[in-house]
Amino acid sequence: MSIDNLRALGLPSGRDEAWKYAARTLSRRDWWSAPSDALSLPDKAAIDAAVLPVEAPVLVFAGGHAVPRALGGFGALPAGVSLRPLSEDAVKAPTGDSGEQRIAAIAAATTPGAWELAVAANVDAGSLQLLHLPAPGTGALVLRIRLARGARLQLLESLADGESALAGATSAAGSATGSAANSPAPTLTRWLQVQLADGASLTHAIVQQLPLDAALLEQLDVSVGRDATYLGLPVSLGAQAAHTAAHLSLEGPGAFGHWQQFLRVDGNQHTDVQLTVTHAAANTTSTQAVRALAGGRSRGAFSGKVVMPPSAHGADSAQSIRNLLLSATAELDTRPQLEIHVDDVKASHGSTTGSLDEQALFYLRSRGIGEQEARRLLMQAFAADVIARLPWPSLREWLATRVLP
Amino acid sequence: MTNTPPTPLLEARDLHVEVNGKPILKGLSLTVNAGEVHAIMGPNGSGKSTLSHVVAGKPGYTVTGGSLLYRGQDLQALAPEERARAGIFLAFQYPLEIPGVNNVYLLKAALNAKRKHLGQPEVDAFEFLQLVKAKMQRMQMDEAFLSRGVNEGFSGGEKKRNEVLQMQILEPTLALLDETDSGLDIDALKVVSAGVNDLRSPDRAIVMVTHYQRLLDYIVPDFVHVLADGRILLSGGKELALELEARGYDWVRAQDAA
Repeated sequence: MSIDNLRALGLPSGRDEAWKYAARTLSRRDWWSAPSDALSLPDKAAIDAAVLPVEAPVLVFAGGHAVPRALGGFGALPAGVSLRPLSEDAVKAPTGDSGEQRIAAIAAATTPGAWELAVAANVDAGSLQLLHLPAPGTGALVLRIRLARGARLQLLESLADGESALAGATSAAGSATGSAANSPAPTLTRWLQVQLADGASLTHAIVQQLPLDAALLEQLDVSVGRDATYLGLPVSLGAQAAHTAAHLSLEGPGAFGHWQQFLRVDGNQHTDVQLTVTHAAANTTSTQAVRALAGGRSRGAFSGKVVMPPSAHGADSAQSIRNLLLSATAELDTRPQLEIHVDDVKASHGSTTGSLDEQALFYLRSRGIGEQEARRLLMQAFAADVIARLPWPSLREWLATRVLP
Repeated sequence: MTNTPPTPLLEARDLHVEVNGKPILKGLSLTVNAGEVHAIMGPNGSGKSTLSHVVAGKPGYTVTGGSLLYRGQDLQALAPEERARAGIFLAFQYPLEIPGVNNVYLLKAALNAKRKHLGQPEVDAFEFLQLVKAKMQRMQMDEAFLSRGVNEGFSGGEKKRNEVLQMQILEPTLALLDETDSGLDIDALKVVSAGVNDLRSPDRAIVMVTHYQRLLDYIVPDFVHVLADGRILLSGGKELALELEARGYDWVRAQDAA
């Protein structure tokens, strides 16, 4: 669909099931302007400041553009890993006007160029970091991640706050008086397609620390082959408004799909996540764990839908959602949904919403720990449930205090 | 030259306490001096746990009358953490499980908070670990404890040992033990009691709240008090505990009413 058509449609309203909990402020943003063709280059210092502390090669994207290696964008890729542009035909953008696929349509129409990151068969590529620096104005990324049979990758995506990057980009564009402060607030549309062939394994961490005036639309379409494993580990901290639609499809028998999310909103932030896990094949396993923390007048929402069609014999799914409210004016909505069309399956779900445990707080204070410190410890402990799944100890440590409001 | 008596460690005078608007302590008076071990006994619902909680500063416990002094200072002005740093320790009847907060981290943070209050430097990390390991051995605790969350997955007995371990490390001036014997088998009771007895000293006081005389065979008190209906109805020596064991509490009430 063309940009003009998409602009005329606007974003789906709250009456669209997939957008029910999305921030209304999203529809006031400009998603339709194509990003500037000219790549505004972040400087080296901005990149260094934004890279997360993990021992891994780094690939840099700015506003959806891949920053070439020659310009300091990335180091050598591990053997068996490739990054290449995708042709418009190869992207296979959705053509209808469905709300569920809208983000993909916008990203495909506005991206400056789509990319494919591939890992060859039976290659264990270790860790790789994709650093996304926000550019002023509209940015759009289309990325396909393809792991061939038996390939393994631990991918860390960092959606950086990039304050220095924004300032750097402006000065690189030659504006002597410009500053990040008066450039338009960043909007970013991301469409990721993840394809895992038989026996492949992807750990996919997404640390989202976008600037607090930024808006994010994100769609993840994940297809998991026979005996393959997808482990999604989103850590959502930034952006004024963020809406994520994740479709996790367990296509091959014995496939595993896990989604372990930490979500924090504060101030006037509004983040919502719509996850659908489809157990398309037999003996597939999924887990969804969400730990959400909300303060100020923020809103957060998580909808977790598990679909088990007649083909899902022996499927097993477990969902655990825990919400922690830190203020009386914050709101966290949780909506578990099960759609089961077959008998011999297991599906469990549990969800709790509460405030910090006063008993635990008193216990810590009775040991001499100050009240603020005790609160901090309990919040950290709450986050640790999912943060502990990140495979990089250095990143866990780095995040330990940053996940707090 | 006159001999002024030393200031008591804990002094409650005609203390009235409400919990969620409900009066629980109704005129309790108690004086605890350094070097003494007191046992507070009484029927269920008499206010035994309330006394230990109000001394430790649990939110929701409101002093509505009388006074509560620690070393002559009004406790109401102090937050729970300030009381802890000043040397008050409550061994909980039901110690909390706090997954995600490491046991040793808590111990160290607690000790350093106290040392800071006393103007002392932070404890050396290596020496601290040696100290913890030695005390753990004393309390017959598994080394796996070091890497676990606070009381996470501990049995009832392990939790009580952990309370006494914390007490051994923090070396409080006033130790309050809330039903520390409940849920312990005889072997665990011996270990826990030995841990408490280690702490007996002329400059420290221990107040045990208990339902059963059994604990007092192992930690022998200097004074035994009967707490019923929110007041201390009778005080005596250790032999009072045996009499209570034999006769129950009703005669104390009857005597008080007379």
